[in-house]
Amino acid sequence: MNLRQKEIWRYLGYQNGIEPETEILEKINTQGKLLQDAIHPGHVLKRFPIQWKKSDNIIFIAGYSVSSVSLARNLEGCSEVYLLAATIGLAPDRLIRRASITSMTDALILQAISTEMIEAYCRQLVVDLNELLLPEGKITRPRFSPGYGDLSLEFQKPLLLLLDAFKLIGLSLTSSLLLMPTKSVTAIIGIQTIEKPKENGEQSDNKENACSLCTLRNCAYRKDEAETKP
Amino acid sequence: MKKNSILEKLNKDWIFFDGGTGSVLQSLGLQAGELPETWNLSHPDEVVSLHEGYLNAGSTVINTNTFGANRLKYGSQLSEIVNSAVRLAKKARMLAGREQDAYIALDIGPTGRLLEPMGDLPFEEAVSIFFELAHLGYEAGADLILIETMNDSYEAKAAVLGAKEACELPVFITMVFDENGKMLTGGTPESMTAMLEGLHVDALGINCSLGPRQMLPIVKRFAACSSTPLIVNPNAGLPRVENGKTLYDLGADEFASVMREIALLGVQGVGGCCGTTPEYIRKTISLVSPLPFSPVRKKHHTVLSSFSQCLCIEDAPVLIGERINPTGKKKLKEALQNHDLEYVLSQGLAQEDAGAHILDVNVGLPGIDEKELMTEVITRLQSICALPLQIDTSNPSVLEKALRIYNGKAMINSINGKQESMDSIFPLAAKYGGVLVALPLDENGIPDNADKRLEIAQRIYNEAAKYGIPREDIVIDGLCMTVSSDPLSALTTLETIRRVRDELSGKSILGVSNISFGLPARELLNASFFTMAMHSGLSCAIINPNNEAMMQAYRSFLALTGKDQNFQAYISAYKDYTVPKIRDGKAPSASESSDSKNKPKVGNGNENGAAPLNSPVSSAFFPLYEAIRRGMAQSAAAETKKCLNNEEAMELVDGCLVPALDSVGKDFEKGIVFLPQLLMAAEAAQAAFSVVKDSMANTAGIQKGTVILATVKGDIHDIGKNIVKVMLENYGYSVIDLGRDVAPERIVDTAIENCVPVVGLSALMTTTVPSMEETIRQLRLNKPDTKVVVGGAVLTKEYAEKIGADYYAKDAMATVRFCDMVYKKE
Repeated sequence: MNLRQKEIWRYLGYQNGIEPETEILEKINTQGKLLQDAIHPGHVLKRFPIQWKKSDNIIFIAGYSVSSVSLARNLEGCSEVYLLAATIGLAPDRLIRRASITSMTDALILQAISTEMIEAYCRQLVVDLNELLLPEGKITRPRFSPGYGDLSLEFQKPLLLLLDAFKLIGLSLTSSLLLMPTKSVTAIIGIQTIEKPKENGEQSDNKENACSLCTLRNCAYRKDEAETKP
Repeated sequence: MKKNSILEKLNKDWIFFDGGTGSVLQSLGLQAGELPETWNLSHPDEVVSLHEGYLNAGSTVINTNTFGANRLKYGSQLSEIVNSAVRLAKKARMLAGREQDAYIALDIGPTGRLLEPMGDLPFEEAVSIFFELAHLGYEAGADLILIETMNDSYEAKAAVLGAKEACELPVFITMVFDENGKMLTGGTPESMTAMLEGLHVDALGINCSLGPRQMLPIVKRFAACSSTPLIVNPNAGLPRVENGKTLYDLGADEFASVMREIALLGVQGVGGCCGTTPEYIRKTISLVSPLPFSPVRKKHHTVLSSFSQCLCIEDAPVLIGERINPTGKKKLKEALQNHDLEYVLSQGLAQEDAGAHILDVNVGLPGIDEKELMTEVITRLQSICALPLQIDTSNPSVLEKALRIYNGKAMINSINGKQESMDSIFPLAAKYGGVLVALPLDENGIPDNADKRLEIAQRIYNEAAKYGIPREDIVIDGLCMTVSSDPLSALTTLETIRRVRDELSGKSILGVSNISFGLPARELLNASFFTMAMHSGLSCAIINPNNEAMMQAYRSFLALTGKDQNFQAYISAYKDYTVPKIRDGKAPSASESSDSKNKPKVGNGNENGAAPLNSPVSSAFFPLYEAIRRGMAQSAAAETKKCLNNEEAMELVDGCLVPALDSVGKDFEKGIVFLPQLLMAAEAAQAAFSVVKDSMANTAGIQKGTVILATVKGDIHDIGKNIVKVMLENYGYSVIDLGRDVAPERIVDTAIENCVPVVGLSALMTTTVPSMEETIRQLRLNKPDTKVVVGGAVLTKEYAEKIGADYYAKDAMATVRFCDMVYKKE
């Protein structure tokens, strides 16, 4: 798994690329190995055509309809999507709970690494998808998860159902619609044609990250420079 | 003519199951995302034809179309769905002319939710969901229950209990494993077999996820450990998606030929799962039915299990950690009384790290609700610790509750030869499974000789057999009595152990440290007696695994008796062993200390470097000050001990601990020090405080006040809250930690009950902020004088004001400062 060390440091509170002290780096190394041996990555990906009711920002996927301005913006120009459910399993949750008793420092570090692990896993899945799409002359849009912008968490339910995600990878929801295991991601990934001309230009669109779509301006983890906390 | 139960056939002849319900229904037009069970109402003819296909192929058992049927998905429609499912299966059986030799299994799949404490579905609610389903199936006329595709051992246990409590139908269960033989939540063929045999399922095995070829090694593992008939229902190979459709890589002929191999491994029932159409089943049956059938053999293993581990008590003695037992332990007693579960759990984890194989759990104290506390401790311990547990209580109703919620097959401490004890405990062991610790004493007291002890042991075995409890599920206690009150008691105990092994072919257990009660240097006697007992054949030792002398005796014994392959355990424990110059039983040895690597660093610093001129603390305190600042917990504890020889406890707290922590806190606030370092310093300070508290009769002087912390209802993120907790505790606050997903009412009630002036609330999701707002509203209404501080990634100062909080804390230090302010005003 290709982990971005600087992201792990950032999750730990080291902003602007400041490098942690040797003891912390050693701990990151030890806990990272522990996680690497324990995680159990799994995913389900399925391709679906979508239909639009553009006037109301409603999108229809496999018999379900979803109304969201931010999703509509993300999927603009797409007539197909991949639905993704991915997890690295329950082990991080268990290890973090254990460390919360023995050492909160370790718990924090496990939390940071496993967050980057599920991200890395999803990044790789998207890279693989794009390789698959290339011969068709197609490319993916940035992945978009329930809870981003105005896309309701309620959409987790049909998403998991369509992917049979509980049976296949053990992904479930709590009654408040949070994913369990916690180190999991569900997403809608738009598929668009490469040739298609876009007003703003394809490249910049694809560099859009989840943060720029998010309305939570003061989030501690926001990547936008201007919004970074001191 | 009344039809025979399937149990008449099971283990005497092949049982053939059907194939993939979902895949056949999809071929008949079921859409992705459509609930298959609704077809029982909307497409009854298709469902009948699905069943007929398998019946005509020769299946002995067909599964009702109820895999996803439960009240979470179907609510009040459930009974209609289940009734029609059974009715359609019966109709198909009649049409196929198989009424006399085909059986209808009520098919039960997982709920789709994860159980507490990892998820949020309470165990008993899961049991009741399965109970309801099994009851409906039984009423509708199913012949057996087939629980399938279980990927979590805890849910499997809930399903078996629900099914067995609802009806008397035979219960079969199959689970999902990956290619490494692991379930999603960590269970293995061995651990699952141990637990399910304890629950007396009628057949068990594996289904789904893998093709037959990938299942071969897993089936071998099942066959090696199971005494219960085995079922194997694989997919039609491994899946691939083509044009939106899931296809499997094995054709019917290939599938059948691997199934033939599987059948020869000692399996009693075969069928298929996803992708296996009636053709696959027909071909499998034609290849398997001519094979000679062999029934499953009893294995007579003494086994325990946890959610992920199976412990077989065989040749080498196993260690049972005794530290979670309040008898003679002041700190644990206090922790149990104050509901400080973290301390209790930390005792368990420390023993796991020290090398224990099983943890004894005893929380019995006068004046506490033992049942509730036992439930909480077991629930939390079993979610973070992989060791099997020994449930230690004298109260049968506490025992029953504990056995019920335990995620595995537990050890039960204890039963004895008194009729009353056997009458109350054996039924529980028979229902839930477990390995019983049996004390060979009876109404006439404790026999002073081995003859009599063996006689009672034999009586206990005999009585157990009446309940169907095999002798391998009983370990006989050698009854370790204090040697100081009877000089021959050690010899009697050793003789008992030896004769349990040699004459009864039984397993034995001892609470080893009883032997030395009342004598000095107890570890000397304990360790020597332990070696003697192991040499006499002891199977299980209840000891303190944190005691180095006991672990030395244990590892040396294994090394000397050929039970430590290549001396691996011995060498890895003692490769850096140095002969102690002066024995100090209390000081941790180098090999024990977890930050031993860091220790010399500070040690050298102390010896070579004095405190700098501008030291913020007196030079005597400087090493401790530095140990805390640099986050070295074990050095901080050792330095604290040293300082306490010359200084008053409060002097040390005010003159060193508080300044050290505060200087790190200030550096954190300035952005020079980051969160992991702050936490490490806090942990070092915690270690130091703990030493200081041990030395004080009255710790009230260092308590600033009480704070309630909780992650609000609906939110399961608790790491931020836990960080705040560590910091507050170090700054002298006593924290009531209500955990995560906490209802507003509980927070209000706790605040009122304990008169707490500050409540800290955490929320990580925008969707859970409303429940934070609701908590604040209820607090304002019912406990208006309590201040509320809020934090979490989604919150801002403005947002906090909007929902009515008194203060927004951007990080853990900010919360500490706010609490200081509130308590200063008081």
